[in-house]
Amino acid sequence: MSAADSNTNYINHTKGIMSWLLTVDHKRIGLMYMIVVLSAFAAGGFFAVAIRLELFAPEMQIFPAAPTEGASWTYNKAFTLHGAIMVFLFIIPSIPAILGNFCLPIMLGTKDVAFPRLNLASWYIYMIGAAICLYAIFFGNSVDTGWTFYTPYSTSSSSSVTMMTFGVFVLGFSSILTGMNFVVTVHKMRAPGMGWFEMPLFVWGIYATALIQILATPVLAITLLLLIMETTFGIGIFDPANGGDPVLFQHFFWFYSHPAVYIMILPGMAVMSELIAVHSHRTIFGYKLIAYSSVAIAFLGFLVWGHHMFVSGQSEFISLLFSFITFLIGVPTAIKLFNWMTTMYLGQISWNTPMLYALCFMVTFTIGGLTGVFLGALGMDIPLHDTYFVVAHFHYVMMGGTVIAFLGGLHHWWPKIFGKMYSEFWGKVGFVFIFLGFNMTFFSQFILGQQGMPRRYADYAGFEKTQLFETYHQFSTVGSLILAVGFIIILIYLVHSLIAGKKAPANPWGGLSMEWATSSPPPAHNFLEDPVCKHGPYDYDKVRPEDI
Amino acid sequence: MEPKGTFLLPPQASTIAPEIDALYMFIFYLSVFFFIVITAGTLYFAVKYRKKEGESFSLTSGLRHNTKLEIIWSVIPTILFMIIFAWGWKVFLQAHAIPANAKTIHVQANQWAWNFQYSTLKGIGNSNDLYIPVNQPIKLSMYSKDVIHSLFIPDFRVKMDALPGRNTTLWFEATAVGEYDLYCTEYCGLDHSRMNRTVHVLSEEDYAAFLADVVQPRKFDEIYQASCRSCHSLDGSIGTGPTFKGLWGRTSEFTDGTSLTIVGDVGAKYIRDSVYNPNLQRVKGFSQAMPTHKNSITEEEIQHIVDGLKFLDQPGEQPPSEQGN
Repeated sequence: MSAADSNTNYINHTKGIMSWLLTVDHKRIGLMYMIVVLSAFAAGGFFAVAIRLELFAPEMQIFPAAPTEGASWTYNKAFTLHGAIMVFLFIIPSIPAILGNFCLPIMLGTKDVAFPRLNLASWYIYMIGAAICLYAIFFGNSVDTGWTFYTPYSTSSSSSVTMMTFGVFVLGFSSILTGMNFVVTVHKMRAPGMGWFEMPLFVWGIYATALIQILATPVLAITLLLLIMETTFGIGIFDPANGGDPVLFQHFFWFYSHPAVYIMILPGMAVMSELIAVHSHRTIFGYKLIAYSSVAIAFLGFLVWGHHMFVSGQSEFISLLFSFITFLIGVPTAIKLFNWMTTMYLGQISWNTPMLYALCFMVTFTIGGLTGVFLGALGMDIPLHDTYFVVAHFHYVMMGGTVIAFLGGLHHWWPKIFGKMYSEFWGKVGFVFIFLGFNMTFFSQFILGQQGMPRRYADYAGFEKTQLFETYHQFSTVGSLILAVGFIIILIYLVHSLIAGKKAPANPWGGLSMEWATSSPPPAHNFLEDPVCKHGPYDYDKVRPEDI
Repeated sequence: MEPKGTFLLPPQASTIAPEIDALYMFIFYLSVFFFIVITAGTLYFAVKYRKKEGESFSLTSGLRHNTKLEIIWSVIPTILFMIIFAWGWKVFLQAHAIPANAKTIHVQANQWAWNFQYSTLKGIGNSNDLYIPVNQPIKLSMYSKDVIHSLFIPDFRVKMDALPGRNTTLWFEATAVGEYDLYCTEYCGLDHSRMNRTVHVLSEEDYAAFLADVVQPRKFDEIYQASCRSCHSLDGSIGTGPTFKGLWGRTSEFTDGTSLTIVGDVGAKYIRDSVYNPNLQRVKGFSQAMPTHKNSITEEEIQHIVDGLKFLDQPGEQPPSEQGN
C-alpha cells in the first residue's frame, strides 16, 4: 500500500457540500443518516426529559393543564412527539440506515449496495418525511394522539394528525426502499467464496429486518392512507358514527407495528452477535441457530399483533391464538441469549466499551424479554395492559436492547467509520451513567405499573395511590437525568475524538470479518483490491487477526 | 378491613385478584431464576475469560455447537412457556366467564367522565363514582359515547375497553368493603388523566340505602316501555288490551254493565285500580289477560302514568314515541 493510498479515503477523496449531498457512496449516505437520525434522537430525548420532569410530582409542573393562547404545548403533545419521533425518525432507521448502510456492503466484501442511487433517494425521502413531520409540529397544531394514532380519537382530534401521518407515510417509503436495497445486495453482491453461512450474523439480522420492512411497511402506508381519507373526506372506515369500526384501526396498525417491533430489535440482536464474537475473540456458538432464529422471529412477528388488544373486546378465541404464538416467539429469543452467553465460554474477552454495552444488553434485554412473558400471558395482561409496566417493558426492549446495542455498535465501528479512536476512559464513564440512569429510570416503572399507574397520564393527583406513585416517579425522573448526562458525555468525547482522537488502526479489535481487512476509514470503493472470502467471519480458532 | 398491598402488587380486593397474583408470582420466580442464570453466567464468563492487560490475541476454542445443550435450552423454555400460556388462558377465562347471578350495572363513558347506571324495580339511578355491594358478582355493560376509553380498577385486577358503537362487558366480585381507584386506561385526549373515579364497595345494607337514595321514580315513557307496551298501543290499534290513545276522557263500558268516564280523581282512581287489580272492572270485549303490577309499579309511578295519559291527548304535543328495545 503506497503512502498516497493510505491518506485518501471515502471522507476526503472529494470535497465540498455537493460531493456529500449528491453522493451515491453507501458510507457517506450512512454518515448523513447518522447526523439526521441522531438529531431526531436528541429531539425525542428532549421530550422524554420534559415528560419525566412533569411527572416528578402530582399536579401539573411544567405543562399547562389545558392549551391556552400562546401556550399550545400540552403534556399529551410531548409524549406523542417523544413516541413518534423515537419510533419513526430514530429507532426504525437507527441501526439499519446508519450502521447497516455503512457496514453491510463492506462486510459482504463489495463496493456498494445493489442500487446506490436508490439508496441516496431513500435518504432524501427520509428527509422529506421528516420535514413534513416538523412542519406539522411547528407550523401546524402538532399532534396529541399518542404515536399509535388510535381512532376514533385521532379522527376527532383538532391537532395536525393528517399532516403528521402523511409524514410517517412518506418515511415508510424510505424504510421499504432501504430494505429492498439490502435484500438484493445480500442475495447478489457477496464476495467470491462467501456463501450464506459465511456471512457475518450482523448481515443475517439486517437481512431478516429488511424482509419485514418490505412486507410490513406497506400495511402501515395503507392504514395511514385510510386514516387520511377518513379525516379528509369523511369516508367511514374507522369511525362508528359513519358506519366504521374503531377496533379495525388497531388491527391494521398493529399488523404493521408489531412486525415493526422486530424491525427495531432484530438489528440490535444483529449488532450483539458481532460485539460478543469479536470482543470475546471466539467463534460464535450456534451460528446457524442464531441466523435461523432471526428469520423465525421475522416470520412469527407477523402473527402476534393481536396481543396488543387483549382488553379491546376482541374475541377470546382470537386472543388465545395470539397469546400462543407470542409464547412461540419467545423461544428463538431465549435461544439467542443462551448462544451469546455460551460464545463467551473459553473466549479471550476484552473489557472495552463496546463489550460493556454487549454485557449491558445481556442484562437489560433479558429483563425486557422476561417481562414480556408477563404481558403475553392472557390473564396476567389484564391488570398490566396500558400501565407503566408496559412502558417499562418496551423501554427495556427498545432502549435496553436496541439503543444499547446501537451504542455498542457505534463504539465498535467508530474507529472504522472515522479512522479515530475515542477515549476508552470516557467511554467507560459514559457507560456507567447510561447503565445506572437507564435502570433507575425504567426499573421503577415496573413497580409503578404493577401497582396500577396508567400510562399517558399527565397528572396523578387525587388518587388513593398518589403517594405511592410519587415515590417511584421521583426515582424514575432522577434516573432519566443521569441518563441524559450519560448521553451528553458520549456526545462530547465522540466529537472530541474526531478532532483530537488517536489514529485508528485497520483492525483495532482483532476482528475477522471483512470490514477489518480494509483501512480505517476505508477507501472510496471500500477495498483497494477485490476481496475474496477465505474464511468464516468468526473463525477465531483457525485464523489470527494479523493474517486477514 | 381494607386489604393491604405488597411491595410488588396492590391490595387484593376481588375474587379474581388472588388468581391473577398466583400466576404473577409463578412468572416472577421463574423470571428471577432465569435472570440470575443468564446474568451470572455472562458475568462469570466475562471475568473468568478476561483478556489480560498487554496479552496478544491467540487462537481460541472452536466449540461451535453442542446438540444436547441446544436441545435442552430450546425445550425447557418451550415447556415453561406452554405452562404459563395455559395458566394465563385459564385465568383469562375466569375473568371473562360472567356468573349467571351477576347484577348488571350499565356504564357509559365519554370525554372525560364515567356514568354508572343502576336499574332496579323502582327505577333507574345514576352516579359518577361506582357503588357496588361487597361479595356480589357485578357485571358492567359498557359503551362509549365518543372515543375509546378503558375501565381499570387495579385492586380488582380488572380492565376492559369501552367502545363507541359496541357493547363490552366486564365482571368482578369485590371481597372487601372500602374505596378503590378507578382509572381510564385508554388514552382519550386532554383530560385523560383526570378521568379517574372512586369505587365504593359497600355492605349489603349500605348498598340498599345507596340505591334507595339514588334511584329516581320512572317517568311514563319508561314505565310504558317496561310494563304496558306489549298489550296497550299508543296509536289506537286494538291489542290484547284497549289502546291508550284517547283513554283519558273516554267513556268505557265494563263487563259488569257499569260504565265510567275516565277523568278527574275518579279517573285516576280507576287507573290505579286497573294497574294493581286489573280484573275488578274489565272493559267489554277484552279477556282477563292482564296481571297485577303491584310488585313492579310504585304508587309514585301511578301518578306518572296518569300524567302521561293526560299528556297523550293534548293536541299539538308529540305523544311519547314508540321506541325499540
